[in-house]
Order: sequence, then structure tokens, then C-alpha cells
Amino acid sequence: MLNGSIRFNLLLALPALILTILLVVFTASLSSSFLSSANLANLTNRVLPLGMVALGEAIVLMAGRIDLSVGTIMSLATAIMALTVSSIGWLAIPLAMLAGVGAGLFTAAGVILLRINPLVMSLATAAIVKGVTLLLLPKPGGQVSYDFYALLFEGESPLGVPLLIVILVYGAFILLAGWTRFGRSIYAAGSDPRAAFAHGVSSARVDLQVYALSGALAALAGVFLSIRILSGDPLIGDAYTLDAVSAAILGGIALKGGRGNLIGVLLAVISLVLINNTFNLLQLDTNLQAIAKGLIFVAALVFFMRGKAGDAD
Amino acid sequence: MQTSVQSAVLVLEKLRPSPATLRAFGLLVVLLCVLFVASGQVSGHQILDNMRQAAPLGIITLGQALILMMGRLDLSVGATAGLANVVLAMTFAGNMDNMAYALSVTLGCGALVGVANGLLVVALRIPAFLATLATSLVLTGTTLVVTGGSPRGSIPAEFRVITEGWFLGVLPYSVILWLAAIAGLTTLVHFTMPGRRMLLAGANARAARLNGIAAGRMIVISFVLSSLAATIGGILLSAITGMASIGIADAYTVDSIAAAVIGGAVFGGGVFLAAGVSIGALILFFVQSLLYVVSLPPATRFIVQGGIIVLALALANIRRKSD
Repeated sequence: MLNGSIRFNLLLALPALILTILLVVFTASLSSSFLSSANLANLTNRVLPLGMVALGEAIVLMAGRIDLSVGTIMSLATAIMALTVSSIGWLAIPLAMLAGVGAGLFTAAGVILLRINPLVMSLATAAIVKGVTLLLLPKPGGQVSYDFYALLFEGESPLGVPLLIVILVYGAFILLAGWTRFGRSIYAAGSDPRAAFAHGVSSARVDLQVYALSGALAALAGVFLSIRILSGDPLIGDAYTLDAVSAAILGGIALKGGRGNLIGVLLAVISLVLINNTFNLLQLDTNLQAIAKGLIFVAALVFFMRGKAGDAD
Repeated sequence: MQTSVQSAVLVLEKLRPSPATLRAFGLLVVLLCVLFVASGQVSGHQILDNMRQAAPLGIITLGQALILMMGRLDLSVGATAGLANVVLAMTFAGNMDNMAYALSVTLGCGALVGVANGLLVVALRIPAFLATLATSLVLTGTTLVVTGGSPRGSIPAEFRVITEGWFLGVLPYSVILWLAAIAGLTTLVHFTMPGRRMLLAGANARAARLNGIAAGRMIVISFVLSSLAATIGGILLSAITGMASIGIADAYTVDSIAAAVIGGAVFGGGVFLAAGVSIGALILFFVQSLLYVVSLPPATRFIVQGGIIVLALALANIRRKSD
């Protein structure tokens, strides 16, 4: 009962919370520089893009869909930023987000109108977005003005603008998911589309909304990334797709939709960033991180899907 | 006598190309006409030469089609083919004497990837596309860690005969290998009991289980076969390039899905059209070379990749609705 409401699902965030605490204790005891203000600022700077893209992915998963195009949308946003900031200034940010929304709507159109499997449709969107990005910006380059960097990241304080943005955006979406008609329609469509339809929730409309949101948030993540690296990179976002899905699952979002809360997702994002940070502080081979990420992903899936026998897929 | 005629009729009945295969073939003919207009000449020799180069994709697509038959998706085929490329070059070390060793180690690694995928899906109940996505991440990471980013070794020139050479000057060896894979998988799926069990497990896992079929085992076997197909594709690719490079086969993952859906593969499972998906692979290869002929930038390849998937599935769905 009340499965659909966020307020009764806080327990789902517990594993991510425990993992975060363990990681903090572990890394802090191994490396003295972990708790330095510079390192903490570095952590919040990394939580910012992954947090945005994971939020979008989590919303799509709550609606029972999946979006494997978020990484390429991030890359597209960095390319748009790098190419247009010098001529149109801050207007490049809404432009990049508009492109993200466009990509999301394209996926939604394939899912709703052409009845293509969401997984495959988002893979197709990913391929197309990647192609467009590589047409716009064949190799890393372009320039994003330092003014944006100064506004966002300067000061090297862990309590700076990035933290504020994360808190505001997550706060807004937690309210949206748990306390509005829109949020409940996502949970409803995700847990049982037919029952939701009988109660006046159109799953097509929910699909359209969640994919558009996911595209916009992925693009926003790309915007922050391009500001941090001061340029564009047509392939930089690719690795974020799995991270985003990983964070959502680790945060307790059910892969089949209808269950989960966004606090867990934020904690999972923090723990993924912490793992990354631990690898860096302990000066381990960065390529080992890819292996570790894959294994963590598998572990998260096993942990959260345990005991659901009889599922064919 | 009578029965042998009957069984011959039955075999022919089973081998009759499906409508989807015929449609793919029709598309291929149209494409060849376009190529003819664009480049001025299309000869049988030239088509065979293209098939020779398309063979890696063709064989990888066959594995992907097998997984699609099981109602699942294998997102690790590109990484597996890339692993085969790196392992083959390292074990060969440019010396033909190492051939038996190199091939067995490479195929062994491929089979291991398949077993891992299968166990993740069956024993740990992870959805196949996520399990294989995680596998591909681990494979890419492992390749980078082991090679330090710059893979060593090379493929000896004598071995490259399998993609450069022509049997009696008529048929390229790699095309023979491709045709053998089509024949082998068609026989397996349509003419043997294990194959039929796999098909049923893919079409309806619950019905299969109720009929006493070990559906889980069938899934593991299909993943091993898919990874082996990806490995063979990677070996052929290595023979074409002659060396190892990181990430060389990444595009094969989405390419193989695109090729399979052009050839009539469906996502619900239960359909296996070896000839159809092979024609799909050939079509994709021709489209990509057409892009090259009209000198569009390489990035358009990805747009075409995605566009083809959307188009092929949209057409298939519209047709299903009207039927």
C-alpha cells in the first residue's frame, strides 16, 4: 500500500547511505588529504554533472522506461556550449538544453508513436546524437568562457555554488515526485500502466514528460561539464550513461518502474563519486576504475533484484 | 522412399526464406542498383569482395540474432570482438608457429565472456542488456589494464590469408566461413533438438520451463555462441587490420543490432532468420560504403546506424499492425 509515494520509501535509500558512510570512513582513514577543503570541493564539483544526469535517468526508470542516450546528450551539450558560447553567451545554456529536450522527445516519439522498445529506441537516439555531435565537433576543442567557470567553481570551497545547485534541483524534484499529481502519475504509470490509464493517467503523456526531462537534465549535466573543462568533447559523456543507470539502481530505483526515491539516487551518486575519488587518492590505475564500476554495477543489480524469482528477463 | 521424399519436402519447407528475408533481399538489390548508378559499375567480383570485408560484421550479427531470438540483447559483442583482436595479436606475436595457441586462447577467452554473460543473466537474474553492458565495461577496462593502453604483438602475414585469400580464386575464405556459420546456426536452430529447445525458450520461457526444458541452460549456451561469434568476427577483423588497437570493434555492438533488425529480427524473441540478418549485415555494410563513396564525414555513419534501427523497427511495427 502507498507503494507509489516517496514518503514511505525512504528505506530504499538505506543501502546507498550505508555505502556512502563506509566509503567516507574508509577513504578518510587511508588518505589524510581526503577531508581537505580542496578535495571536498573537487567532490562536489564531480557530484554536480553525475547528479543531474542520474536524476533524469532515475525519473525515466521510475516510469518503467530506460534511457541509454543520456551520455551522448551530455557530449552534444558540451559541443554546443563550446561552439556557441563565444557568440551568444549564456544563451548557449538554454540552447543546449533545448537540444537535449529534442533528443528526449525523439526517443519518446519512437516509443509512443512507433511502439519501438524503449531500450532499443534510446540506443538508436544515442547513435544519432553521437553522429550529430561528431559532425558539430569532430574532436575535443572549442572554448567555453572562463567567466562561467569563475561563477560556478571558483573559490575551491565545498560549500560553493555546485552544492547549492545540487540541493536546489534535487529538492525541487523530490517535491515534484512525492507531492504533485505529475510525480504520482510517474509512479502510477511505472507500476501498472493499465491501472494508471483506468485512473486517468496517460502513459504516453508520462513517457513524453520523463524523456523530455531526462534529455534536459542530461544536457544540463553536459553544460556543467563543459564549464568545468572549459571546452567541448564529443565523446566525454559516453561513460556517464552506465554511471547514471548504476546510480539510479544503487539508489534503490526499481528497474521495472514504480518504486524508488530520489534521495537514494543522490546518495548513490555521492558514493560513486567517492569510489572514483578513492581510486585517485590511492593512486590506483585509472583503468581499474572501469572494472570496479562494472563490478559495483553488477553487485547493485544483484542486491536490489534478489528474491524476485520467475522473472523471464 | 515415400518418407524420405516427405522429409525432403519438410526440410525445404523449413528452408523457405521468410517474407522478412525476402524483403531484406529486395532492399539489397535496390541498394546495389543505387551503388551501380553512383559508382558506374557493380560486378560479381566486387560484390564478393564487399562480402569479404563485411564478414566480421556478418558473423557478429549472427550471434546477436541468436540472442535476439532468446528475447534478449547482447551489448558486449563490440567489446568481445575488441578483446579477441588484442588477445590474438598478443598470443600470435607475429609468428605463424603460434597459430594453434593463439586461436585456442582467443576462442577460450571469448567462450569465457559468454559463460560470464550467461551466468549473470541466469544465475544472478540480471537483465541481459545491463549484464552485457557491465561485461563490456569490465572487458574494456581489463584490456586497458593488461596492455597499458598500447597493445603489443601483430598478426603474421600468412594468417591474413583468411581475409585476403580467395578459395580457387572464386570465393573469399572469409565468405566461406560466414556461409558456414549461417548453415551451422540454421541447422542448429531449425533441425536439432537443442536448437528447438533454445527457440522455444526464447519464444516463451515459461512454456518452455513447463515442458521440461532447462531454459536457463539454453540461455547460457546462446550467450556462449554469441560471444564465440563475436570472437570469430574479431579474429577476422584482426586478419584485415593485421594489428591490435584499442576500441577498434566498439561500433559492432550497435551495428549488429541495426543489421539484425534490417534482416527481420524482432525484440520479442522466438525468431531466428540467419539468411535475413546476414543480408541485413550486407545492406548495412553497403550503406556505409555508399556514405564513403559520396564522401560524407565518418560521423554520418552513426546517424545512419540509428536511423536504420528506427526505420526498420517502425516499418516492422506498422506492418504487424496492419496484418
